[in-house]
Amino acid sequence: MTNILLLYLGICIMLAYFGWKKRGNTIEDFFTTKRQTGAIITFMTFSATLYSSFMLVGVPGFFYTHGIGSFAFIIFADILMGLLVYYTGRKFWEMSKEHNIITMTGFVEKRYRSRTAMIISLLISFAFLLPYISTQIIGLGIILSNALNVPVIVISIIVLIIIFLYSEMGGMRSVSWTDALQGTILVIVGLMLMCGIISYFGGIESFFMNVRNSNSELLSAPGPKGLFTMPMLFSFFLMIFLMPVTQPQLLMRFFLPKTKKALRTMLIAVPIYAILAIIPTIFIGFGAKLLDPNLVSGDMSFNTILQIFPDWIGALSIVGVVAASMSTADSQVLALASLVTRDLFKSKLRVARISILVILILVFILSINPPKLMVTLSILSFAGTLQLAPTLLGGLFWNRGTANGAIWSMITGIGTLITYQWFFTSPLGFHSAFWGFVVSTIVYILVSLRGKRMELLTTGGS
Amino acid sequence: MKKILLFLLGILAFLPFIPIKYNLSFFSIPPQLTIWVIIATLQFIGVMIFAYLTRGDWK
Repeated sequence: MTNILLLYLGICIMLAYFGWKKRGNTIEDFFTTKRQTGAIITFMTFSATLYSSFMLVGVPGFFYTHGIGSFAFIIFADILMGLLVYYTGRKFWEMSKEHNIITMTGFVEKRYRSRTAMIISLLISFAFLLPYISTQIIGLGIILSNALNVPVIVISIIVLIIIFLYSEMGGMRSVSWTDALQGTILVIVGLMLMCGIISYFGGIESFFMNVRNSNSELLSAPGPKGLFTMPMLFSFFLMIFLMPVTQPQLLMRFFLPKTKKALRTMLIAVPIYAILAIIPTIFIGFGAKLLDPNLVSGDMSFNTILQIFPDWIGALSIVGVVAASMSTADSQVLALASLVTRDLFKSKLRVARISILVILILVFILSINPPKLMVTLSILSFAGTLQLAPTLLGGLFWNRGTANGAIWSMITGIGTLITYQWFFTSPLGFHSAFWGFVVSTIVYILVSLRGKRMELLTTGGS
Repeated sequence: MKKILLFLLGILAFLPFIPIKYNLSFFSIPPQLTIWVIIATLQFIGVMIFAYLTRGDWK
């Protein structure tokens, strides 16, 4: 186990070193590789960033606890994401090139000519992403400490140091190269486990027969606990489908490629990758249910399923979880650092490096003794950033969208999310994020219509 | 052609969330999953055709 893990970490550091050798000295180079990334690496870094350890640990846990509904909220969103890349990715890429935009909040500031709108979008990004990174590090620490018999805190420190090293050394170049490796490991591990599980239970037919005999409610929505009603599934679909626009670390990936044509690779490859990454999670979750139907938490499905595999596959699988966590966490740290450096302080490379360190220290502090609020915020990460969608999509396509519209849209969206999450029951069975999105969209339109028309940012000759 | 395809994909995006009782099953895969796999396959094919139809838009 230790050998495989060390080999993986060694390769990550080696890739970081190559990134460091090729890096330039500008902030654009550090955060976007000066738009010199090739099509395959752009697609791989996008996919690896999209699928965190949630994919190997959280989603199987959903299957284990809530059944087949988990398939719907993730697969449809990820397949149709290609369309979002076509309609938004192209425009973001063109704007980024013409106006030298390298961050999500930079786009908000330039499009709405409003520092207030930029600061609110930055605060929302921090409030919902920082806790998410911390819980990933905690989760990773727990899995590795069980496997290696090392305290969680030591694991967390080592992982954060490695992320720090390769983020600092080569910035986005190192992060995207390591992402490519990590994304590949994630898919290989998932497929390998799926094949093993199908074979262990005597084929697909026999596998599902066993699940039906174990608990037939798992095989239909809304599942044993009634979570996945159709309104709830649609809410989850919306949160995930809009992630490439609403999460800063994913939006940044649109600024990386050398040519716009590279984004076409994403339109084709993202749905293929989604299928390869998602289908194994059905077998991991249900397989764990068949092996041990009384786990304390569905998140333990991944560890449970490993008992039917030889040690070396178990070790490789744990490396897969480490890779999935690190590929998302490093991208999120880099994205948050870019927001602080470029948009908040309008500063230079040295501040970028310091801000990475400060963010990682914050992540570490939060992960040592996570406040209850932080755990809730991390669960609501996708829901919180969804409230940025009207501001970003409106800013991209609607020339009537105004700064006031954006500001009030973000504030009311988050307000509605909080209201229905903590104080009232969300109406009609939809997730509170859905109502936040509805309210923020209506407010964006109404407030904008009362204001002066603002020109859209030009995109390459238009 | 592109607009028709987008319209169909739009319908396919909402279809999985309409609560209908299905009774279609292959290889003992549960009916709900079977129909979702069929819709996902159609969506996938649709996105690939869309990528083909828009191949000239990336210059």
